[in-house]
Amino acid sequence: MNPFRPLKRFFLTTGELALFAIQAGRESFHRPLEFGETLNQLYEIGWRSLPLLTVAGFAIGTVLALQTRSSMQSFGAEALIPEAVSFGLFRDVGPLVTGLLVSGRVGAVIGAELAEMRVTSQIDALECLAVDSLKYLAVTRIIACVIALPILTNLLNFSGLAGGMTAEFLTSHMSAQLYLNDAFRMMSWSDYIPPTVKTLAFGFLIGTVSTFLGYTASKGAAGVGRASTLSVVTSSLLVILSDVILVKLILFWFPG
Amino acid sequence: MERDHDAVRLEGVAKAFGDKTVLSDVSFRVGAGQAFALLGRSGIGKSITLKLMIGLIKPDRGRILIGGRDIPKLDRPQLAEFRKETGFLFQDGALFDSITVGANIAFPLRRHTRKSEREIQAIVREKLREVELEGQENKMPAELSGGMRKRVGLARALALDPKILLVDEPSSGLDRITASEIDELLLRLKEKRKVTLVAVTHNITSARNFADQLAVLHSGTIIACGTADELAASENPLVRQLASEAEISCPRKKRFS
Repeated sequence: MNPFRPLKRFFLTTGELALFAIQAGRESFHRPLEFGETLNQLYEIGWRSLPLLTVAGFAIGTVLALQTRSSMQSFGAEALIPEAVSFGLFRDVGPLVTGLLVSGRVGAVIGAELAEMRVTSQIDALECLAVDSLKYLAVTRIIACVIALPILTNLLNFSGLAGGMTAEFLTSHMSAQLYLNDAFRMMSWSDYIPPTVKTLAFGFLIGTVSTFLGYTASKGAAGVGRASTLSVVTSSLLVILSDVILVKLILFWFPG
Repeated sequence: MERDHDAVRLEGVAKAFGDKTVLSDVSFRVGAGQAFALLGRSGIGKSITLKLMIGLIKPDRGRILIGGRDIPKLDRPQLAEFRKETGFLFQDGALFDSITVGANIAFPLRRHTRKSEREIQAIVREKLREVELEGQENKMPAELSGGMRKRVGLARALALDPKILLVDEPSSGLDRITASEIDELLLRLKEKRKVTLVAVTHNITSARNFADQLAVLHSGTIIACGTADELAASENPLVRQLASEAEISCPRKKRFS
């Protein structure tokens, strides 16, 4: 077997993905703008992810507070727990966990749904009905992911804050007002806005990768499964990699 | 010489995928309001020919003229306009499985017309009546049988009242009775609506039920073209074999009138 074959395949797929992203980006500015379908996808991608993100955020906030307490106690610095939880959540844990959870839930759905449509000729049927399938299926989902991610991130962050607050109330009877005061005392807009804005990139990556893999799926049921799995794996990996780069950039532009 | 009354004309169409040549030289013409069946074994390139005709793929060589338009040369908006005037029935119906039967048929109407919802629902009911599936608009595609899916696919393809209807394997995957019901439906549509019908099928029995002209595709080219009787009289052993299959499974007198 040619050892360069997988490498060649990787570069070819990356190139195709880049072209797909460019084409999708260009199409998003052309009429018809597909508002209806974008709203429909926002419901599917955003609204339907609410329960998962709310519960996950609450659990993460609770665990963060409990874990922080056990280490802070040894220094007698329990008063810093709300601050540590909110910093951790808002600056990195929240955006990253949201990106990964959405990669898992939405990436799998988009990948499988579009691959199924490709395999059963539904995408060809759309084209035959004079509908631009790339725009109708891919662009709408990418836009919905880009819009949904910052909203879901905020939801997870505030849900996490509620989780931390509950944990603190149960362990040390700290009041909600005091907890919130402490949580936001040292926080500035630069701790909130850049990490939230970076989730736009996560949304774009998740949307583009999963629609690309579903839209270009090969024939057969195996192709559907492959597209679904690859969507989750690739978009999760890209979210983590891009987070590393974006965190570095944020620290460079907004030090302190 | 150009023949204006040809609704469909393919001239020397060739298509290859990588090293594999699927079509090497396909030429045929179909008159307006006629029904044409392209016959051939499975995997010979019949569906590719239909996809070339609707512009889903481009040929490597040759001309595809439909309704006076040179299909491979159309840009995206022109292709969209052409597709609004052309119905396409997929092998398994290719229904959108996340929406109801009624929404499937209403889909092109909502996209491409300014009709009110009341008018659209009336058209949906009319199309369903036409394919003998009255009252099924609220069912999901998954609840339908293979024959019903094809009928709904046909109703959707007819929603915008196309002048040309392209049909991919109308009888595949269906039992003989259901298959002949679909053939009868196609024949009735052709006669009532005067649509030009181009169907590809591996089943000559089915093809002779509705087609005025038949052509046999083999090794990337048309090896015989004519009426069912002309094909039966062909010297080509492959064509004779196909024709004899029809004789066995469907005697000539059974043809629909």
